[in-house]
Amino acid sequence: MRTIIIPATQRIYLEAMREGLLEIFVEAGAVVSTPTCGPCLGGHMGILAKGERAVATTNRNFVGRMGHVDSEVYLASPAVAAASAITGKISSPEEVVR
Amino acid sequence: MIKGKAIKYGNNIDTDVIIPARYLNTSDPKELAAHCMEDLDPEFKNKARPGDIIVAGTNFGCGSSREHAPIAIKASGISCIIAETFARIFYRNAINIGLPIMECPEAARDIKDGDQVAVDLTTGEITNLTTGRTYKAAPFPQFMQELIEAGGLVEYVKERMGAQG
Repeated sequence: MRTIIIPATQRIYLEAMREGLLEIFVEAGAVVSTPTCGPCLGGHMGILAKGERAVATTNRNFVGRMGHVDSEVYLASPAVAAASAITGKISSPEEVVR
Repeated sequence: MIKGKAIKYGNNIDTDVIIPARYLNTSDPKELAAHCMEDLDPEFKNKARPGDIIVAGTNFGCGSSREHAPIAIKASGISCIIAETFARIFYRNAINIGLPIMECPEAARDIKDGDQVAVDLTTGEITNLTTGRTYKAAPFPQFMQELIEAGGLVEYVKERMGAQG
């Protein structure tokens, strides 16, 4: 499983850095990118292979949107995406918050 | 007058299946046409003949804004799209690149895959030559007709700037 963090803007990127969020993500094994379209439109950076599934916090979900035509996209809130990254399946934040 | 064979699709045909994002690293119309519709209908590029008409349901062209979508369809030889409704960004992108499109729910529902269809862009009249039935779509406003005839917005503006000297 791969977890890719893409701040939406330079400002959010800097805020996340100052708050220490990026360090938490990197220590957890995530990849952090500069703000970019990334894999959202299936262009680059972690696009989906055949049969792969993504829990994405983007806003579009069409056949082949994030890569292979036989991959699947599930749109979710950041909290659900974060929880799912921990458990490896689509999960409620309540499952991982102590 | 436009004439061609109907190629029929359903509702909500989105821009990601019209031209998948993985091919957006080019704006060459021929290259885009080679991949047009391939995630929905891999046979499209083989069955589309010059003059053919796409007939579809509601919300054609929804999803990401990309002028590559109407460019890919136009470069495939498609002469016109008839749909129940179009997504608004695709609608204007199609006009801007000179691809005629017609909103006509009756025709879009009635026409079957493979029917021969004629479209008069000036009057908005659509004729199913296979069944003999006719339909009326709202014709384009004058300026949109001029824009399509010019071959799209860029050519239209060039013409107008040329006329002004």
